[in-house]
Order: sequence, then C-alpha cells, then structure tokens
Amino acid sequence: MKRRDEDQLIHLAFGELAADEAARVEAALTPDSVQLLDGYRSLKNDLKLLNAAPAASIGTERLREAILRQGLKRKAPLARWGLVLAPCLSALLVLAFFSAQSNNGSSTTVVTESGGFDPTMFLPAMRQPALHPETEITNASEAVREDVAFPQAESPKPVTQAFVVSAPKRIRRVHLSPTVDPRLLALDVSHDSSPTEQTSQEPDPSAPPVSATPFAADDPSLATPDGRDIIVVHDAQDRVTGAQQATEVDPTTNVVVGG
Amino acid sequence: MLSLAVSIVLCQAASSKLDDAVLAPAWAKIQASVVVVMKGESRRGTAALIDAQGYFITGRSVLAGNGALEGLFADGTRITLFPVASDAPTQLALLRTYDRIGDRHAVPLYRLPLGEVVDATHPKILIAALADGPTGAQLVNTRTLALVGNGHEVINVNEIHFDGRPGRVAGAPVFTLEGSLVGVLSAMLEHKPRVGAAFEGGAPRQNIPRPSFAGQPAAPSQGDSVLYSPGFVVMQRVITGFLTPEHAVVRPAIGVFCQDSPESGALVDAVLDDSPADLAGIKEGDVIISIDGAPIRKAFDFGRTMLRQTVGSTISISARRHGRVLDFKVRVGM
Repeated sequence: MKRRDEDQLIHLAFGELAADEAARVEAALTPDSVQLLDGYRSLKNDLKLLNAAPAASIGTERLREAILRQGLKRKAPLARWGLVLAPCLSALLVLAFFSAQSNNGSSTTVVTESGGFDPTMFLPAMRQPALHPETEITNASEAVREDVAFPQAESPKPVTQAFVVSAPKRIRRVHLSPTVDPRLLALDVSHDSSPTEQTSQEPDPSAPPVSATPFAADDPSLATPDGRDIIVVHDAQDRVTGAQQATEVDPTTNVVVGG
Repeated sequence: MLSLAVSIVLCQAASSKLDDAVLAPAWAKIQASVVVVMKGESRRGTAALIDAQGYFITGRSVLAGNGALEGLFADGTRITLFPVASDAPTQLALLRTYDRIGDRHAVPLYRLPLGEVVDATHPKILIAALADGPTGAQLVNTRTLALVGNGHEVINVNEIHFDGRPGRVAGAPVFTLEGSLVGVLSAMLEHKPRVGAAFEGGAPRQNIPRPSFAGQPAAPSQGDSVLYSPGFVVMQRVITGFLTPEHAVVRPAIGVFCQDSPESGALVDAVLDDSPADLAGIKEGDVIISIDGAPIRKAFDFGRTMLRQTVGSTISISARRHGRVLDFKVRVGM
C-alpha cells in the first residue's frame, strides 16, 4: 500500500476528511485496507479512553478528605504564648476600659475594612492541585484552554481564594423539638459531637477574584425571605431513582448554615 | 444494533407516555439535544446539550467512574462521551463529546419571567427526559431553599412533581414545553414528618391540582413524587463555571457558619481562619443582623443572602456584639 493511501486511511479513521473525500476513500477500500482502517479506529478509541483517564486514580474529594483527616486543626496561638501574653493583654484591657469610659458614651459604630485582602492568606499551608474542590475535574485533557460559548458565560480567571472549613470549636446547645431526624444531627448544633466535615478550596494567588454570578442579584425567586419551604439534601441516594434523599425542615429548626 | 434497540425502547416509551398533544410537540423540539447515556448495555441516564462544542450536562449519578460513556440520540446517532467535571453540592456533571454532532442546538436555560408565579395551583407543565423515555412533570415551586454539601451551603431549588414513583430520574434534564432547560433532577423528597413541631403529620403530598392533557380530565393522583433540581441562579452559576476553560464553579462565601440567634439575627458560630470574615474582624458570637441593609433574621436569611452575592464584591455587614452594633466591610470570597 502506498504511503499516501495509508495517510488517507489515518485521516479517515480520525474523522479528519471531508464527507465527500471520506466517501471516496471508503469506496476504494480493499480488504487489507479495511483491516488497517479498523486498527486505526481502534487506536483512536484507545487514545480517547486514555484521554478520559484521570491524572491520578485518586479523586479530588478523596484527596481532600485524606488531607483533612490528617488533622487540619484551627490554630491555637495563645496556647503556647498564653503565659507571656496574658499580663500584656490584661494591661491592654485595663487601658481599653479607661479609654472607653472617657468617650461620650454613645453607641459606637466601628467600621473595619478587609481591604488589602490577600488571597494567599486563605490557606497558607495547603496546596492542592489547581482544581476547584467541589468541581471535580475528571478529564485531564480538559485543562487545555478552549474557546467556549455560552450565553452570559464569562471566562473567569483561575480559582483564586480558598479557606478551610473547619469545625466550630465551641458547641452550642440549641433546643430542638423531640422529633429530630438523626440525619439532621450532622447539620444541627444540638448534638454533642463536634462536626467533622471540612471542605477546602485550592488557592491560586496569582489571579484576582472571579466574578461568579453577576446576574444573580435580581432573581425574583431569591428576593423575599418569607414563606419558603426548606429542605436538607443528604448524601444518601435513593436506590431506585438514584436521587439524593431530601428531608423537609421546619423553618423554626435551627441548623448550621455556611456561607 | 444496540442503537436500534435503544431507539426502539425510546420510541416505545415515548409513544406510551407521550400520547398527548401537549407533550409530544415539546419532545420533538428537544429530542435532538438529548442523549441517553449508556455504559455498555446499561442506560445510566440522560444528558442535555448545553454548548454546541459538544458539552452536555447531567447528574453525577449518571457517571460510571471516570471512564468513557456512550451517548445515543433519539435518531440513532451514537457518540462517545467523556466525563469532564462534576459539582458536588449540586450533583451536576459535565460530559463532552469530540464526535460530530451535526447542527444540534444547545438548549437555553429557563428563567421564570419576572412577575410570573408558579405554585401548586398554578403549576408549569414540564417534560423530563428520563432514561426510559420522556414523561410529563409539574413545576410547582421555585422558591424552595435547600441546604447542601459539606459547606452547608444554601441554594435555591425547583420543586418538581411526578405522578407516582418514577424510575431512575437522577440526572435527568427537565425542560419547559418550549424547550428550555429548567434543571437537572438531583434530589427526591422523603415522605417523612418534618423535623420540628410545626408539622407533625408527615403525609405524602397528594391530590395536587393538575391541568388536563389533551382535553382529558385529570386523574386523581395516587401520591406524587417530589423531586428537586437546582434553581435558575445555581444552574446558571454551575453551567457558567463548567464552560470556563477550568470547568470550575465558584461560589460566593465569606467563611462563617451561622445558626439562628435566640433573638433575631444569624449567630456566628465559627469564623474560618484567614477567611474574608476573619480578615474583616467578624468574630464568633457576633450576631449578623443585616447585609447591605437587608435584614437578617435567621441563619437561612444569611445563606439566602449570600447566594445572591458576587465573588469579589464588597458587602456591608452589620452585627451585634455585646449590645453594640458594628459595621464591617467584607470582600466576598469563594
């Protein structure tokens, strides 16, 4: 077989020929070239499968859980320096007290700015692959930039900020009615065991924040707070439907909300 | 052969369920943009084309690991689908094909028009592309809030009712009769008593008013299945993120966990180290009472208000601390 014919077969197998050209080549196929063509098509399929394989067999979420299980704990700087700092803080408190007394006594409004925000401060000790944690990228080849077109879709820069969601240190007791769905305990603050779930997001200090939803603010479905049904969506899936199980929550129930 | 068999199944399902003059034209509009997702001989669900470059949206439950899947259009066209990304809180997933899909059009995202109300007495008829064929459904509520994911994030969801108990619905796209994508089914309501004292009955929702199809009187419901799909804001946020080069979804957050204050407001139960809230000076025990002037009466108000924010914007938070009201300027992170 001529080299040129073989090239044509390769182009045909990989779908790179125009329709009329593909038809011409297919019409001229011999048994040998059919076998060769099948081989190339099989190769193409194998390449696709390779393409679909993750960069590592470990998923982002499992990686995150593994890291978090190793104990990303909240800092307790005072534990070490407590003995040194305590007298200083006491003195400062006394000074602050007398300073406050010397004011005119009106209710003070303090305005603080979070300006100078440094995204690298979010998670200084943690560096994970440049993936958004709750957006699991499953195809490594998709990291390649592509021109995409979706109405109103901005092209945000890479994820820039992240913070570790760690469990609250203090456990507050909140009264609940006796009929507590045990699955809600993971969300409810009335139980004794400290919540352990943590999420994290990878920081990328090189880019500014991304504007995520410039269109959300005027959505009428979010405008009014009253009269809303509230559900909690659980991880457990219904065996028949494959859907996650949801439970209605009375609006008076006190659950932990993150944001 | 496989495609023929599935096409026959689809057609049979369609003919059995869509013998209705209302739903059949709707299915004709959208069927070219919907694929049945297959793994071998198993139909795992369906997916809707959201970008002409070959991106499809579906549910995470439709994926089978990270391996390639097969997509089958109603006209018998087969394509290879590759999982690209998934979003844990919403259970949405992105698939892509590199095969030619012809001139199929990407479905637009539906947004409830301003002033239009959807509720149990004014439901909106939908068509759901289930794996065993399209079927009718009703959108009865767009105002439900859901608490999802490890971050206890509040999102808005659409409440969608089906007659009886449908089969495998997770990941199925749901459309208006005009062919716009309303959402992807992700969660199903368990008919159990609500937690709390205000609702002790726990009876399944029944006898939801439904319009008649093709002039036939509506049959009384034997008990609807209540499913949820992410609402418009969340769908648009996820799709927008999916279609970026990084396929990453970003969510506005300032890094606090709240619960209801015994008085009015959202009691800050935890502030995450180095989060925007931490940098702005918000502390545990503060009670958030307003954001940008909007009153915050309970923790869910805080979550709902955060859902409306934009990453990178600066918001004004008023909080009570030891009887004083403090104002904070917080830059929204994610």
